[in-house]
Amino acid sequence: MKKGIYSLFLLLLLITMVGCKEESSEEQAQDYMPFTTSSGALLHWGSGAVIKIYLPSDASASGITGYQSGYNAAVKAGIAKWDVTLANMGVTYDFTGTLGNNDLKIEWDDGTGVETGVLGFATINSQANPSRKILMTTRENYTTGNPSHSAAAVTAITGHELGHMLGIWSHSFDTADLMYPFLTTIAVPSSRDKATMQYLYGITPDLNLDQLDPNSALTAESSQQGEDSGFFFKINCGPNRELYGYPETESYVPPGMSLLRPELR
Amino acid sequence: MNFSKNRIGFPQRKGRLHVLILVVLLSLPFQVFAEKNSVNISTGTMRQQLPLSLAYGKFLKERYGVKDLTLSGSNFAVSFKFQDIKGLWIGVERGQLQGKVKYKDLNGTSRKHDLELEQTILTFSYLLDKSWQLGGGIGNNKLSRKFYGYGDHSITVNNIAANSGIAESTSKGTLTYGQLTYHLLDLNQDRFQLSGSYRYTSSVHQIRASDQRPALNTQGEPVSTQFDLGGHAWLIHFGINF
Repeated sequence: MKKGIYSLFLLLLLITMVGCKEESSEEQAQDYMPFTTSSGALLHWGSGAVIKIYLPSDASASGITGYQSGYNAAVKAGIAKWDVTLANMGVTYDFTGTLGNNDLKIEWDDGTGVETGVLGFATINSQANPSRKILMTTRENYTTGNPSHSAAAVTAITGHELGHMLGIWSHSFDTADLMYPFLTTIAVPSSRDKATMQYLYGITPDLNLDQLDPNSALTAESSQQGEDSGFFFKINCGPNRELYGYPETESYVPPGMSLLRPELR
Repeated sequence: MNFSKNRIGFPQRKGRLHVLILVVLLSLPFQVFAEKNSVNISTGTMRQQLPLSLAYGKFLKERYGVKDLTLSGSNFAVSFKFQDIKGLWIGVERGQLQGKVKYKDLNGTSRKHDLELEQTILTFSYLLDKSWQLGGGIGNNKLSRKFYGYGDHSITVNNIAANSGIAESTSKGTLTYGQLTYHLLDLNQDRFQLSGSYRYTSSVHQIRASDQRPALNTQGEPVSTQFDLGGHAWLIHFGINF
């Protein structure tokens, strides 16, 4: 009789523990996108940086094939998409129309100076001045008739490339993010884009881009290396420390690939 | 009657006869064995809680907000007790457990990861008295993980297709466990038994940095970690003694 009561009690207890399959609730993930260079080096400007951007006026860029009046405003709109995030990180920027002693240069290309399908890219060349550049195309060089980009596309491309230049030197795996490597309808940083940027500014970078200057204590050299002949970056950060990486988000369209979507680098 | 004619949707009659003869022939030694010794066949449900304090478990907790990772499923076991060795049962167990990690990503989209653990175990148990049984086992297990996300820390237009979305990874390992069983109900002179058990399992799998969905360090780079698949488990099983 006693065993029967114990058994019944234990049975009910076990059914509760084993049988009740509780559905786990949906928790908030911290699924940041990748943000380091291909070598794993972390490069960003550091909190508190002031970035001086050289942006050609519509008048000075009008000689470039495909350039449309209004692109200047479209680029500014693309950069402004990051304003709230930049404010949270303590990073500010201002524009200048004169070339020289800038932190970041926006350069225009008519589409012939880039590989097929590329709409723009962000790059660092420590031997150039300024060493940090965003190259924007005016048109899609693979499209019949080569139409110029819409202002909305220029805004989206600028926002994506600035995302690289600020520190996300990789891409998102999700089409909902501005840092997805192909042009979509997304033109503003997503929650993940913003959260990733703010997260990475909480980490001390391997190289602070704000300090990358020919006159700084850092010495830098560049060389053509690697089987894909990409621009290979090498920075000596002191006597025993070297960083290797692609500060340019290198990517090549495979031969014979049919491009359905314009590619953002 | 045409035995050789096969019809779609029905097993061949000739084939069914062969299977029947084969089952009878194979069960003969089993019945002879059972006459002198004892055989127990049992099946049940199991629920196991994985620890989240170390390595890959900690990564899941920190990255996906997992507070409780539970695997549940069923197992099937056959045990033998030899007449000459009183109280000692030796057997084989096969189990299949599933678990889910449900989360909202940073963009607010609902996502989930699926875990499936298959295990094959050689079991030993000793009947302490009519109600209590102490046991243990060693075996191997295979973990399948279907995880959403990315694998590489450097995503380009060339590798994004292989990197993103849902990827399945498998890993294999070994396990050991200790178990205490209480026979809740014995019917028909102990022929039918309903039992409850507490089990503690120890099992660790290696999740390599080259895995499709590895753990990531603070800079988002893949790192090799160990996934602790052990922990506390509760079982209810129904058995038949021959």
